[in-house]
Amino acid sequence: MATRWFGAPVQRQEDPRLLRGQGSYVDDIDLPEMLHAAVLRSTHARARILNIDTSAASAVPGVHLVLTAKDLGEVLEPSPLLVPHHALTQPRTQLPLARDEVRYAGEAVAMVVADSRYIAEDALLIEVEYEPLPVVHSLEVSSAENAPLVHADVLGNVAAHLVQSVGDPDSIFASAPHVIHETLLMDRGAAMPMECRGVLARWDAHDGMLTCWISTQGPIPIRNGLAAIFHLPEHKVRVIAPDVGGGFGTKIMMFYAEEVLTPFAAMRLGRPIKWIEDRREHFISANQERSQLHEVEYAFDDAGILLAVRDRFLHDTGAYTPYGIIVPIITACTLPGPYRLKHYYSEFTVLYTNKVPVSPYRGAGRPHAVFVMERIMDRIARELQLDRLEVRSRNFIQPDEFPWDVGLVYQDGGPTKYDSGDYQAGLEKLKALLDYDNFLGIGVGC
Amino acid sequence: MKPPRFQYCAPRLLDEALTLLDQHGEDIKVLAGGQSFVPLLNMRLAGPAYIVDINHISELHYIETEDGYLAIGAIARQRQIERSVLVQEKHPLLVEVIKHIGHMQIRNRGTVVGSIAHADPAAELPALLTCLNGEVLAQSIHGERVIKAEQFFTGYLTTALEPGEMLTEVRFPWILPQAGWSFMEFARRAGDYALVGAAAVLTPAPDDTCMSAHIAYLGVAGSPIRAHAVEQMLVGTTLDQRALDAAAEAAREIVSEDMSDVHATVEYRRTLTAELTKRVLKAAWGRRERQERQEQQRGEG
Amino acid sequence: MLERDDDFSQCVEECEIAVIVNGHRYERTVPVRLLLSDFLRHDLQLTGTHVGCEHGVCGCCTVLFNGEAVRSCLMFAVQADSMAVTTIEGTNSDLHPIQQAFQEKHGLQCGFCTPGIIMSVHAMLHEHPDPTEQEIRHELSGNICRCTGYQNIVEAVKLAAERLREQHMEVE
Repeated sequence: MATRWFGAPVQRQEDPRLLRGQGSYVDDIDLPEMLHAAVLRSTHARARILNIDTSAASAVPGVHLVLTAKDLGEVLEPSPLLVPHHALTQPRTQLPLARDEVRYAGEAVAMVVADSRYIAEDALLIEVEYEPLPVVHSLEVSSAENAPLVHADVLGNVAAHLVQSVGDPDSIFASAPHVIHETLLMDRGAAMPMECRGVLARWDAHDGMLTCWISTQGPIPIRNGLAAIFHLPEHKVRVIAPDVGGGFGTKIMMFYAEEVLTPFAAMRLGRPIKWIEDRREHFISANQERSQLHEVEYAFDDAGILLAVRDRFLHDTGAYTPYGIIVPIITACTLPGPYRLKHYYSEFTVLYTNKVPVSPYRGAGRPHAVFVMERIMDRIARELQLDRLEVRSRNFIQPDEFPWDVGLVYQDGGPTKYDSGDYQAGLEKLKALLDYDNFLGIGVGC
Repeated sequence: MKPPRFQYCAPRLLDEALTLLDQHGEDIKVLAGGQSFVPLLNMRLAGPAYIVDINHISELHYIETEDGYLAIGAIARQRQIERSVLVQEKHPLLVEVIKHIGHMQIRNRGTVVGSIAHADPAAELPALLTCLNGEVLAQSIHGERVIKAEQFFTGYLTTALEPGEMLTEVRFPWILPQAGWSFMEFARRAGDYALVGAAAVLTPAPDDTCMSAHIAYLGVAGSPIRAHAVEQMLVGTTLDQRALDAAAEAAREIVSEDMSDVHATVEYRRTLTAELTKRVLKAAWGRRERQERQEQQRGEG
Repeated sequence: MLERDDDFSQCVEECEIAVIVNGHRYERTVPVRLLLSDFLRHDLQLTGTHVGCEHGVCGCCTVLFNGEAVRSCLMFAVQADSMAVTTIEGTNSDLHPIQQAFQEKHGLQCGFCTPGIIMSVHAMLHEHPDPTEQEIRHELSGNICRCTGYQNIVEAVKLAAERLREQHMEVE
């Protein structure tokens, strides 16, 4: 066995198992006496719930349990706010089942448990009387005057507002040779792992032990949370993340409604309960990300040196803020990028919309920032008719300028400081590797 | 996404299937390849009380050359036609079109007749059938009728089939040996439903001008459209740049106003239609066999 | 294709089937609406075949049906009566050269799409033992992967094809 691993190709231990189809993803686990759950989801983006009639569902042969909000007792609580922040003045989190109002199409309204998933889906004949309400379907609608309110007690749909500033951008803008203003939209996206979500819960009453297999990226915090929600000591709750078919951030969130409902049903029925999300559900109820609208102004000189940036953006958090506001904070702190930016004003407003909630997805706010900054670099190059890489080179933080303090407070409360780097060398190496000059078109992001 | 309940039958004889269709009228659906139908069931967008699986009716499993057309039976798989040496030789345009359908897993099960019966306006085979002025054979226990392509496709996922009827055969007319053909479509990714596509067959006259033109489009309306006006414009021309440009301009009008959706606006589809028109006509014309080559061949024969 | 000995011209909601999977004959009574993917995974405990979309787009459920790559989420178990199905569990007990190549070239990460891809590669190399990169990408266009970015999958297939040719191995 080699003693040097760096730079050596290392084969993975799990591959032979996975290549033979011997993986163990949550739906691969079947337990004796197991029952299957299906979730009824809102078909309206915003509506009042006037009445729910579950009698037809309960009457379907093979159905063991039908749950709505009124059946959840003290479990009917908003899920915990992960990552609070002083600027998040109006946080809101989701109930495991909607009670008075639905706030996005896909929100869980009821759960049915039956002998098979097929029967559980047959039994989603639950009559929900909705009163549709005007929908907040975009950042424009959300931020408009007299906009409908996603949460009745959140004025202007504003969940959070944060300003950070470095240097003196105002005076730079006043005297700069070139100033450009742009509107940049990054639209919603979803991680879409190949394996959808899933929960298998087993309650052993003799032992007082709750065991859950969950396709999650965060088994330990979920274990801690479930212990609190169900008033169990932590050593009596076990959450196992088996093989997970991709997460990318979507599965790091807690609590998804089903992560509470499935153990609840298992305890109620005394039998293992499995809920496997299908792709249609994943499209409408698994967390999404990316949606931001930036109004950015930037000042630069004749040599293409970026002098100052003023960025005001709207961040769409969807109907709830389970993950706080780390995504827009990361955007704000990442925007300067590898460039020498000493005068920078960042202001963001987090708005509620009637859409699936937003939580971190691969990049967690960085791609948005990089998109904005790299468009700035390209535009400067175009305006001054300079080479795009040359403009970037002229703006890089130089190796002898590290450690470089961006001057902003990061989402974890610490400073945003880069410890080292030689960006020019990296860019040159990349350029050579890519055979940069031989493409019809090429996108650049540093 | 599990399918709803249904009663299932898998007869081995066509008459048995037709009897079932007659018995159950609107409550029964035919299962052939299932590549379009089963997704609808899984999404619970379809919920027939009865499903008749025709995959075991061996008398429907054929690819036959007939006088005037290639006849394809209801359960011949798309992949079989793609691989058939007979069809590659005698109807290469059909093979070319089938290669564009979905992915290989879909073509392994999907049937040609099933795709025609499903009548998705973004599908390739309905457009080809329309282009070639082909026909379908519809049978019921009361008899059979032949329906021309342009009468068969009546709207989005809708055909002229009556309850109790099923398609048992599709007929793709032969292309004259001297005619040139081409098929092109534009999709964002391999296997996606195309936004717009065009199939063209052009036959040269002895003086090497265009004697007849057939061109049909997918993705431009609720059904495939045969562009008769564009065809008229091409007859007598040499398919020079002026003729191509004029045809492309005229083709834009074919795109229906209500074809705006999340995938493309009407204007974008019109732009695609114009561009594809030029390319497909140029390619088809380039494939034609010229008079002097034919005479040469005859001289050598 | 095997001869059927049951008569299905009567309409039923449940029936007995006999399916050959990876060379073994399994007899079961199943609801007619049971998808082939669910039958393999839960009735036969062959969980290597995965379910990603249930509408025929992602390829995770790819198995060989009478030797042809098909989407098992778009078939019913009853349609497999008297037919032969090959799943990932049937490819080999030791790692087949295809699987070995995937390990060497890091052609998988989470592994969820992998069995479907391996089955498609089996089908592809059987027909195209010497595929170009274009052909590989085209033939695998019916399988989606969210982890790898496909680069290493393509490399793995090239390596597998090369090794199989060297060994004069016929892909079954």
